[in-house]
Amino acid sequence: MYTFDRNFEFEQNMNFSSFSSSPPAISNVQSVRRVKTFVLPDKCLEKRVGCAWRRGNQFAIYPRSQNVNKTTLETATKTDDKILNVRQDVVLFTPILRKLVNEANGTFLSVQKLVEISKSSDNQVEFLKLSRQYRSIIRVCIESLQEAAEKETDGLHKNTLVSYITIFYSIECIWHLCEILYIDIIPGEVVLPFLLEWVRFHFPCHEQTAAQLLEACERGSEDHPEYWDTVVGMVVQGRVDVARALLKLHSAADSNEFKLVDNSLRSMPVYSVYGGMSTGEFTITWKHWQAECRSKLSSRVLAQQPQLELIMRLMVGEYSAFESIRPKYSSWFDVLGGWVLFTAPWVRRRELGAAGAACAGLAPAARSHLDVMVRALLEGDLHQVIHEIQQISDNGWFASHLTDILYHCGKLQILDHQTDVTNRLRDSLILEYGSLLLEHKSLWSVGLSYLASCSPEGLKRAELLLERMPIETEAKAMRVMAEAKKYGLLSVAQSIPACVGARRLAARGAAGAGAALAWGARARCAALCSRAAHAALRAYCDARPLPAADLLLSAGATLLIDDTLLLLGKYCDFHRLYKNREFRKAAKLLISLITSNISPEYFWPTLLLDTLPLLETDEPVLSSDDTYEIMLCLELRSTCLSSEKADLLRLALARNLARTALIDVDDE
Amino acid sequence: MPLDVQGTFVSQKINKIRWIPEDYVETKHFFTGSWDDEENSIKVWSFESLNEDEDVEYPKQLSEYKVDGDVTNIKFLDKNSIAVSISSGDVRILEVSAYDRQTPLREVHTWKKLHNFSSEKCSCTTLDTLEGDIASIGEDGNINILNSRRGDITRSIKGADSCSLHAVCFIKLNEVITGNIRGHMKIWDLRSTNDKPVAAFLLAGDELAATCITRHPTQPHIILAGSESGALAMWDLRMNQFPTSLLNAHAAGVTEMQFHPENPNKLLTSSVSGEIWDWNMETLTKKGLDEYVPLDDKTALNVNSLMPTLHKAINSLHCDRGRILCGADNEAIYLIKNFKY
Amino acid sequence: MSELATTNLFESQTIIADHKDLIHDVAYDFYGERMATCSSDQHVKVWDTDGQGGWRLTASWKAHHGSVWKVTWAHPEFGQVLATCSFDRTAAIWEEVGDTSASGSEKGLRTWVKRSNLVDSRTSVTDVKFGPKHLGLLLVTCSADGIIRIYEAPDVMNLAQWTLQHEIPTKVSISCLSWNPSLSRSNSNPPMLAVGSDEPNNVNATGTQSDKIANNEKVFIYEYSESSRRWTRTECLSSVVEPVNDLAFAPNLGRSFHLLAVATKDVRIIKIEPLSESSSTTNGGGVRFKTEVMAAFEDHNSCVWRVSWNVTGTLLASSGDDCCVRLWKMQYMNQWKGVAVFKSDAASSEAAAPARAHTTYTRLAAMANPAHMPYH
Repeated sequence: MYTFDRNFEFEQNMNFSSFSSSPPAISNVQSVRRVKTFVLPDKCLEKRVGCAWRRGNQFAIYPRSQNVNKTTLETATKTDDKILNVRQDVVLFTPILRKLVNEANGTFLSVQKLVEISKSSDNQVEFLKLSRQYRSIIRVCIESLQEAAEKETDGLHKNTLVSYITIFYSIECIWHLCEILYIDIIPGEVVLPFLLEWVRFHFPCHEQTAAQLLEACERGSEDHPEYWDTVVGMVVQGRVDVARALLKLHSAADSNEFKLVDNSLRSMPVYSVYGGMSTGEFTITWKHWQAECRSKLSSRVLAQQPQLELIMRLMVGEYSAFESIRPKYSSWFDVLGGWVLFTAPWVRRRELGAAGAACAGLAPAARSHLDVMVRALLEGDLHQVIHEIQQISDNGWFASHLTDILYHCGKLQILDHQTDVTNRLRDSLILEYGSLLLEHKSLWSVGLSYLASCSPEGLKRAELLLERMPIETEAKAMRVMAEAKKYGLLSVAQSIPACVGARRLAARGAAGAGAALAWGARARCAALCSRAAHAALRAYCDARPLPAADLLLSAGATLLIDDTLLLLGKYCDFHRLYKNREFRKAAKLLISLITSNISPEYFWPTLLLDTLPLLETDEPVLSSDDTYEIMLCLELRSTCLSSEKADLLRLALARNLARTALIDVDDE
Repeated sequence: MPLDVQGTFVSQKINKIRWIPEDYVETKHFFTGSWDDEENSIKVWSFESLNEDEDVEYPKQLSEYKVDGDVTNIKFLDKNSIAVSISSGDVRILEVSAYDRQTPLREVHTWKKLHNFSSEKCSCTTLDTLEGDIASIGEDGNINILNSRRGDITRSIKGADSCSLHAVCFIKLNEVITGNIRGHMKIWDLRSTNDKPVAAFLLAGDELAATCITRHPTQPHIILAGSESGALAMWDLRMNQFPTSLLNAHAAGVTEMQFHPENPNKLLTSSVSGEIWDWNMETLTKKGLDEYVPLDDKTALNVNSLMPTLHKAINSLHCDRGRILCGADNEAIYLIKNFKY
Repeated sequence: MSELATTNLFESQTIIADHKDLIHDVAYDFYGERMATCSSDQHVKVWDTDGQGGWRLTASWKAHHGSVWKVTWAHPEFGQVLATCSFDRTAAIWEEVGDTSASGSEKGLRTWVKRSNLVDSRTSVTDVKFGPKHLGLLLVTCSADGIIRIYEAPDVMNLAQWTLQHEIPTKVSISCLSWNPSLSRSNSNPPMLAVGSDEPNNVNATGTQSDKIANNEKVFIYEYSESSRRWTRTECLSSVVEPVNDLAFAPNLGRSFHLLAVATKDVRIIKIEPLSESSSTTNGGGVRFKTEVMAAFEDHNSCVWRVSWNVTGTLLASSGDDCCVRLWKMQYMNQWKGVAVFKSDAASSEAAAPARAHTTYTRLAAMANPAHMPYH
């Protein structure tokens, strides 16, 4: 059964058009509302529920059956105390697919760079290279998925891997066709050789049998049960030479019928843009050849050889012939190349809609999602294509990267009432994809580089998501800050260190003051520095050693962030001077701290009492003016000291005043 | 032959990468340590070619040892055993089998939560080893000296720094140098009993972290430190505290430095800005004591880029003769071959 | 090649909260790493992620003398701080203390200390929210008697000291409020609050038709004027006339307008666009905004209980009487669409093995839906 399984998709019901002035008919696919319903486990939420978002695509559901203003008499039953955490399961986060995510990120950034460096010049060749790079990334991904699937023994996991392989096969197939139709450089726009290559690459049917038969090189190969299917297959794939070689292995290869078909195959004109022939001339020659084939067919010379007749009917582009072989193939893509080859080999790449419709109509079987995408692509309805690829369960990887490259090489144009909204579509897809990755513990930096390519909204989103990123170590904090600075997200570069510092202080108190100051200085966050400085001063008042002396003595201009921090830093320096017995300098500093009046209330006793030893040095170090200043402070704040201590200080002050009143301290 | 770069995506951000030395042959094996993911691990890898006749070799995972937290550093104690620092605060000694590299790593010794904020987690930010001794540092600002043979803590300097420490290096057996988050460098004499540094100086005036320190292999008085700003500073410890040169090098933080084991004039550096460079250090290290190289004179130094700049940080590099391994935040490892030294 | 999709896209994990009564609110901290729950059992619980995808109960305490209606986290720059409000007419401020030597710390239990009790209300306090970080440490409460109170902690160091800055009477019973998280402090975006009333409409209301409508308005916008230093009501949303259970401003992504989600009888998304100075003066009467109902979804049947935005304001979750959680998403052309529905499996029998579900995620199966059938 076919299901739509992509979540959080965008949807539109407006009339958009791409590449045509008249909007294409909106198929019933578009009008279906794709709301997906999920069943929650447990019968835990029977009544009403509440919900709350966590970060990312995660939220909680909880029972809630009471209004804040209406106290009901309902009582809780046992099932009412369950909380459900719901999160999106993201396939891209599986280890194998993470390689794809990372590698594609490199190519995505190359695309953005290419756009940036050469806005004007035509760089189709470069875009083609990058598109091929994307395809090779998908190929590598499929190969590693296959390798893992082969090794996997668990049935369930194997199934998952196989379904991933299916997803990426389809992506590869669509990307390739898209590249041919929109990005590749096709001489003269004649798409046939590219289309045949696409069919051969993605739907290799009979190739092995053909190779086996040719290698064996035995006359009478028609005994092989798949002989005719293989010959027809080669004709339909446009491998005329192989088909002819196989026909030569038939035991009746020398008969006239075989020679006739071989001759017709051999003489089929092949268009080459360098062949010196105009498309007009080629069309005439080719029609002439097909008319000849048709006359041979109607002469019924092949009536005895129904298989040869079938080949001839295919060569003249007979619809019923294609209809008859269609059941042998799993899809109509297998015969698409052949149909174009034998009906309109001159067709240009934007004219494939009719061929697609004809081939799709060969069998009225149920249409797969891939069918819908290929049809839309052949019809040139890129908007429909993008809409369809969003339904793929790859978390938007394909849709965002394909849309981005098509947009940048100027091949995508989506109109809404004559307004070009292509960039909005492109941005919405990239934003979605980037936001998804930003939630991942490891892939956040990849996500950030996507969001950064959608300024300004991308950076706004990045800001909200980055500052909410859980930071467990300082190494991570520094890395997130470096990334934030790279994209100019200064508020993030500020809020992260502020939160790290706050956490240190909260968890460790004064012991965390050093760390909190270091981070506060990084954030240039005055509030945090102030809190840390207060914590340090209070700790000192509680008779603990002054924390973070090593940091403070070399903090320099950092101290100016906050007054309390300045006090702490200067006070720390005072201690250093005092220890070094540089009493005069120490005294001068202490007086400046007292007079500057920046000390918090609780620190005044410490400051005042610290003057005591300086008042009693052998040589006076505090001048009479200094002494008056201290006295003034003491009287203004006498309540902060006990009366004995205050008296002691008064006495010392008086004595110092006495000895400095006449011979004052030399001002150095 | 020109430089040959080969990248492999490994689905984890690589924080440290190390060749496992072999005695007589060119080694094929290496360690990686991952970080910044839900689950982190130390893996042993081997370069193997898919087909006999093929020249290209791809890394194949041989074993995985899961750790609870980021692997912050891996250093060798001897040829087969490594000391590992982990952001959970642990230091572990692990041994890889000399005979069968595929055997899971053996835990020789674990110091659980060696660095801690009592019950809170605290990262052991890095470590250095010298002749069986391990010096580990952490966000708690502590230094621990561990003896790998006896498995004990021989010395512990609590509160060696009031902020977090981010770089450490043995200068000689009884002397280590540390760098903190504000670029303060301190030298510690492990024989002295007081917990005071014998010297302290600044990496640069910008108050950014010292991210890595290394000593010159043949001139042990020459010490180099990388900064969070991307600058590289060099000191001659015979002279005073000012760096003899300070080079504005990388566009963002220096993540790892290594002198080429065979040619001490070659220095390799990697950075957060995704660059991996090799430096010709001859002019810098051979000059006499009184000469002075002008600052910011990078051109005179002959710097080469070894790989086109990555769009994500390169966290680690390790060099073995002409082959350099590096690990990056784009969840890939790169092998650079044909490096001339 | 039709199977391009894997069927399981969501996982769920059950946590047994073990509250003794109804749970009223669940709030995640700034990082989504901690979860606080509150209940009619008068308790508040704090849960921490265990690093392996599970949740660990780290604190549980009796917080009030009545049902605890709401719990909310302060910005981590202010430390680990919670505010609660209760039927007991108070709101309280709680701080986690780093004292790890306290009993229980070995078992990983944390201590939360009540720093302040706000007792100004004379009726049940129905909602409490911390203000945007750039305004400092602000707290707003609202109560059943219709009074909005704005408190400020002038010293962020001291959570014990809160000053009541403003008291704004609304004259109707208020059930919920939301700060506008807009980052700028410019004139065009002054501090802004939205409050919702759950007052039932009086069917016997007298007066003219226009009076009746005016009386029935349920959502009010208040703005702070820097010049008058007052909060004033600058808008009544005429489009919402049924009782409101919850409302929430979307994070602003630098847009020129604000988005307000309202849980009333339906899920409403309302666009509020500040008018430029010149146009508002020409309008006369100081009209500040142009409002527009962007979406009104009636899928929850009669009553919507909660609305909650994701971090970037691109997805809205709503829940209601129909026992479903629905996700709404803005498409790139600014239309809103439902993208997912989560509902209890009515058919399934009693919960299976609830005890071991603590850390494991179960994949959610998708229900058959007509839209998922193959076409043709």
